Amino acid sequence: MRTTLADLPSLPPVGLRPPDMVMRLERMGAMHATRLSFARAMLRRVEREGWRVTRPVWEIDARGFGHAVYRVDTPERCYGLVAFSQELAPEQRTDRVIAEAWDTTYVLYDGMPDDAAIARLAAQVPLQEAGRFTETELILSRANKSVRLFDAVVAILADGRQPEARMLDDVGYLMRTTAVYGNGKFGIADRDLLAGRPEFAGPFRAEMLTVWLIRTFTVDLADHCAAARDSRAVRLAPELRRRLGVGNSTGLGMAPFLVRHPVLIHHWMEARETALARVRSLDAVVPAAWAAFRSALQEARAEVAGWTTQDTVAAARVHELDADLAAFAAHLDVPQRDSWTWDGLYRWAEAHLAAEAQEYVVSLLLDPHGVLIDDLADRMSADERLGTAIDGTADCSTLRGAIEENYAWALAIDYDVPAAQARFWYVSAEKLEPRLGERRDETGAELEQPLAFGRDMAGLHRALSEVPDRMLVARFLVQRPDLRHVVRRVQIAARHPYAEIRGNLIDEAMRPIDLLRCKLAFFGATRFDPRSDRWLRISLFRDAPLPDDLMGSDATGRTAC
Amino acid sequence: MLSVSLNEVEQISLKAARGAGAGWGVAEDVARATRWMAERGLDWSAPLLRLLASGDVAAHLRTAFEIADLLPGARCEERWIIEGCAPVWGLAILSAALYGRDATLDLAWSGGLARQHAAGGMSADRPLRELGLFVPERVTVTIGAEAPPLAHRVTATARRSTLETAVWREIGAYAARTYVAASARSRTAGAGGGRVDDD
Repeated sequence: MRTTLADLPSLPPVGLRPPDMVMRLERMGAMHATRLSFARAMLRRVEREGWRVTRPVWEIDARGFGHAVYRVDTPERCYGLVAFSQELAPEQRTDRVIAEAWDTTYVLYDGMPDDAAIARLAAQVPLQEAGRFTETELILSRANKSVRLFDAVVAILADGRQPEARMLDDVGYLMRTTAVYGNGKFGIADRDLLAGRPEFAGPFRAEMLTVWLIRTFTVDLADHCAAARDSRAVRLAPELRRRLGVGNSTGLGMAPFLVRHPVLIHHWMEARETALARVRSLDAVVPAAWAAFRSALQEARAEVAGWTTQDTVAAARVHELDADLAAFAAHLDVPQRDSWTWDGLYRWAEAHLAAEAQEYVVSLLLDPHGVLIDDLADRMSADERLGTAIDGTADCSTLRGAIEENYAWALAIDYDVPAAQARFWYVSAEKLEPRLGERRDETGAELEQPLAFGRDMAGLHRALSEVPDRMLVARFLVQRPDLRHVVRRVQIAARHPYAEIRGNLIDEAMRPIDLLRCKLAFFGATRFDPRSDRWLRISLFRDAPLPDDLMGSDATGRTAC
Repeated sequence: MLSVSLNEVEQISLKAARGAGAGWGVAEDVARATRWMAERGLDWSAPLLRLLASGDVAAHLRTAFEIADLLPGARCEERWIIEGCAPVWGLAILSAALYGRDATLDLAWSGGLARQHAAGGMSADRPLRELGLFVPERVTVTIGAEAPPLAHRVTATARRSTLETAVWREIGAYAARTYVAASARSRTAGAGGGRVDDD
C-alpha cells in the first residue's frame, strides 16, 4: 500500500518547524541529504523519462590522456559532456581554487559538439577560469584523481582482479571535483537559458547531470587504463562501480551563495520543511512505508559505520550519530509500534537525540514517502527578481518592528565585544577567491563583503530609532543610501521566513563548514569529511545508479540535437 | 570584442559600483539596471562608466531610487520628475519596482515617450535609437493602469552582450577596488587550505 496525497489526515496537520530552529548555524551544519536533494531528484527524472547516455567519442590514449564525449538524450534535447584528460605534475595537484591545472576538465555542452567545437573547447576547457566560453557551454568543471585510489584500482584491474570493496569505500571515489561552475561564469550560458527547460526544472540540475556523467567517465577511464596496461585486465564489476561516487572538495566559496540568495534558500528550506510536515501529518504508519523506513535506517547505520573523517570534531559527531541511530533503532523495536505515528517518531528523536541524528531522522522519515513529497523537488527554484523591490511606503516604525520580529537573534548580540566582529569576509585578488580574515590582525576589513546581516541589522535598527517613527522608508533611504541593502533584506525576510541564516557570520566561533554542509546536503552529498573549519571533502552519487543501470532495453531513442 | 554573459554584466556592474563608492544596496540596483539594459540590447557599459565617474553614484540616481521605493503605494496617475539623469537609468531602475505588478509606467522626455510594462516589457513611441535614452534629461514619470504597448516594442531577448575588451577592463578596474590584495597569509589562513593533495 502506498501513501498518497489523498491519505493526508483530517486531523490538523503538523506545522513547519520554525526558522528559529531550522536556520541556526548549528542545525544547518547537521543537515543530511534527503530524497529532495538535487542529485536524487535529477536521477529520478533521468529514470522516469528514460534518458539515454551513450559515448560516441573516446579518443583516449594508452596513458589515459585525450578526450571523450558522452551524449545524453532527454525527451526534448540532447547534451554532450566533453571530458579532457591530461598529464598533471604532482606539484600542480591541489584542491584549491587557485590551482591552474587539473588531471581532468569538463564542459556540459548544449547539443552535440562537432569537431570544430571540440577543437575550440580543447583549447579553453583545460584552462578553466582562465578560458573564455560561449553560450553553448552550460557547465564547466574539473577533477583530480584520488592519489590513494585511482592508480591502485587500475593496477588491480590490469592484473585481472577486482579491488576489495573496503578499499573503494575508504576513499569513495576515483576523482574529486574542485569546482563546478554555472550561470554565466567565464562566458558560459546564463541560468536563464536553462530555466524554462523541463529537464532542468529545479535548482542545480545541469550541475548535477554534469557531476553524474563525470562519475561515469572516472570509472570508464580506470577500465581503459587497465586494459591498455595488460591483456589480462578486467572491467570494474558493476556492484563495485556503484559504490564509487565523485568526490568534491569545497571551501569558503560556497558559503556566500547561501547569504546572497535569500529567496532561493527560503524555497529550499520551505520545501524540505513542508515535506517533513506532510509526513508528520500522516495519522497512520502503513506497512509498506514502515518496511521501507526500517530498511533505510539499516542502510543508514551501515553508511554511518563506514563514515570516516580526519577531523576530530566531526569524528566525535559521527560517533555520537552512530550511537544515536542505534538508540533510535532500539526504540523502534519496542512492541507498541502499531500505535506510533511518524510525528511521534520525530518527536521522540527531537527529545532524545542530538541535532545530527535528529536531522538524519528527518531524512529517513522523508525517504519512503516519495508519492507524498516528490512534487516539492521541482518547486525549489525561485524567481529572485520578485524579492528585489523595496517598499518605501512603509514607515520607519514599521520597519523597526519587522527587524524586532525577524531579527531578535541579531539584536541580542553585543557587537561591541571584539569576538562578535572578529572576522570579515572578503574577495581576494588572487583568482577572486572568497576568504575569511581576522579583523584584528589583517588588512582589508574596509573591503568587507556584505555577509554580516546580523550586525548590519542591528545598525539599521539603531539608525531607525534616530529618525521620526512616521518617516517613510523611501525618505529614510534618501538620507541613508548606504543601508539600502539592509532595508531590502528586512523586507525579504519578512516575506520569506527561511531566508536568513540566524547566526553571526563574523563571530570568532562561527564555523563556515556549517554553511557548506547545509548547501552540500541539499545537493545530495554524503560522507562529509571536514579538513578544517573552512573546507571539507564529500561524495556525490555514491551507491547511485550509473547510466547503464537506468537504461533498459526500452530506453528512448535519440533526440534531434 | 568580448562576448559576455548577462550574469557577467550584472556581477561586474555590482562590483564596479561598489568600487566607485556606492553602498552595497545601491550597487545591487545599478547591477540589475545594467543587466536590464543588456537584455534589451542596449549599451550598458557607456552609461555605467559615466555613472562611475560621476563621483557619487547614489546621489546621481537618488530620485530614481526614491520613486522606485514609493511605487508600491502609488496611486494611478501619480506623477514625479527626475532631473539630470539619463532616461535609461529611470527606465531600468523603475522596471524592477514594477516587476510583478499590474500597472504601467510612462516616462516622457523631450526625446520621446517610453512605457514600462509590468511583465518586464517596454514599448516606445519611436525607434529605440531615436529616443535619446542616454542623454541627461528632465523625465516625467507617470504610473497608470495596465495599458497597451506603444508603436515600437522593445523586447528583452538579448542573451549576450558584446563590448570592447578595453571597456570591459576599464569597468573591471573599478571592480578590482573591491578585492583584497593577495598575500601569503591570506592564501593559507584566509581559505583554510594550503595543504598538498593527500587523497
